[in-house]
Amino acid sequence: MEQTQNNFPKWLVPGMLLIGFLGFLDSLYLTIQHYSGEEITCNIIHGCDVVTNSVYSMIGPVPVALLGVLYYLAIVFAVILYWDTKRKKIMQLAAWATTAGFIMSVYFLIIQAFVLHAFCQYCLGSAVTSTLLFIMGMNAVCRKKKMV
Amino acid sequence: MEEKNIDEMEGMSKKEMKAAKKEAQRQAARAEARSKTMRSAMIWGGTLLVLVLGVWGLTKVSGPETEQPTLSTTEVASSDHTKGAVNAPITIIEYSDFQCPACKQYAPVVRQVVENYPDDVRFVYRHFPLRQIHDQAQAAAEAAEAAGMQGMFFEFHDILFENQGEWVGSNATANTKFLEYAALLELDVDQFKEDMNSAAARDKVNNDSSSGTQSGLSGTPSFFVNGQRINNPRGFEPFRQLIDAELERISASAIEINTEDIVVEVVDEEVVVDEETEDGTDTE
Repeated sequence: MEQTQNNFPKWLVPGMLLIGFLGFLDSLYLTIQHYSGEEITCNIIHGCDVVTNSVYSMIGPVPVALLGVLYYLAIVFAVILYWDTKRKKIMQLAAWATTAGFIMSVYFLIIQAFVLHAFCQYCLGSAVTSTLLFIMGMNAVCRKKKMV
Repeated sequence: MEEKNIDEMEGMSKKEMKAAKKEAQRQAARAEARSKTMRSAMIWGGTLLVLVLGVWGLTKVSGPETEQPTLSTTEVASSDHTKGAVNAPITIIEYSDFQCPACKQYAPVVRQVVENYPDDVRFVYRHFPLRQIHDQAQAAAEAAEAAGMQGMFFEFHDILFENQGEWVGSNATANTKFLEYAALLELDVDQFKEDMNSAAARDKVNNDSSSGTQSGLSGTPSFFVNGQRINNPRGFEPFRQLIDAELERISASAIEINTEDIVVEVVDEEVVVDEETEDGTDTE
């Protein structure tokens, strides 16, 4: 009885893996386009290139998209590590890390809406995946806290 | 419970029983360790496989569908649409947008320039659609490319500018008008329709456009005269003066041209050498 209480919800590992993987592909796509200097195919919303060519798309010499790739890769890696070793600390760490991704997404959403007045569908996609990761992460962490 | 059972067993000394128990435990531990490593290997191997497959799929999807040359503002590429003498001393590259009113005004000026300098000016048209403010600019550029595939790029270019007011509006209007113009030019309309929506047309326009972005352009029309960005001349007369000045500059630096001639001779010799090796026996 105590064991099941302490465990994270069953959907946590597959859920975070799936969403983390999608986020990884999304930001990898943006990174590839960034370095190949190609225009992004923008078939839902107009204004992708405004966003991806803006000054906000870089932090110093590093494109934001590349940070996204590393972030999602780290999340996926941590979740797999937890799945493998069953060490709860790792999952807790990953769950807290989603906060960083979420805050970044909110920041870029604000930039797109109020500064650039343009949206890029792949950036919005990343906002969705990082928000989902955040919700799942917080859910796991909070549930854990209640039990203790 | 278990220990009691073992205690009750007969025909085994306590020592033997202990050894057997330990051995069983050891085997179980080993089996468990083995299955754990197997599980780990499957998990990490699977992860790696999925990631690699994902990356591979993505590069397939996002990679350029058609090969495009790297464009510079100093050289004319084979993919460029050009007008005027091929060996003209002056090359004018225009970055333009079919939906931009200023570009429409410059179209007759450019035509005048090309007509007035049949031997001295080569004109290149490159796309720089301002997609944010001109909703049909990209589509118009792609349509012009489709016409270009049937050898009528500049004819289509002229029609687009002349009738700029009538094809802007909705996607449907633009589409119908483009097909109308294609028919007007007696193009193969079915082929035109297909080309208009092709990856080749899209990539050509995007390649032009990103070369403009790389050159630091932000607006249209933008002109480069022999690689040098110029302030847009206000009409034909200032444009003429600018070209005359450039022609004068070129003839003044005739000594430099002479050295270039020498380089050309060397290149000619290299070609001869190449031919010899081709004609001769296999060296490798």
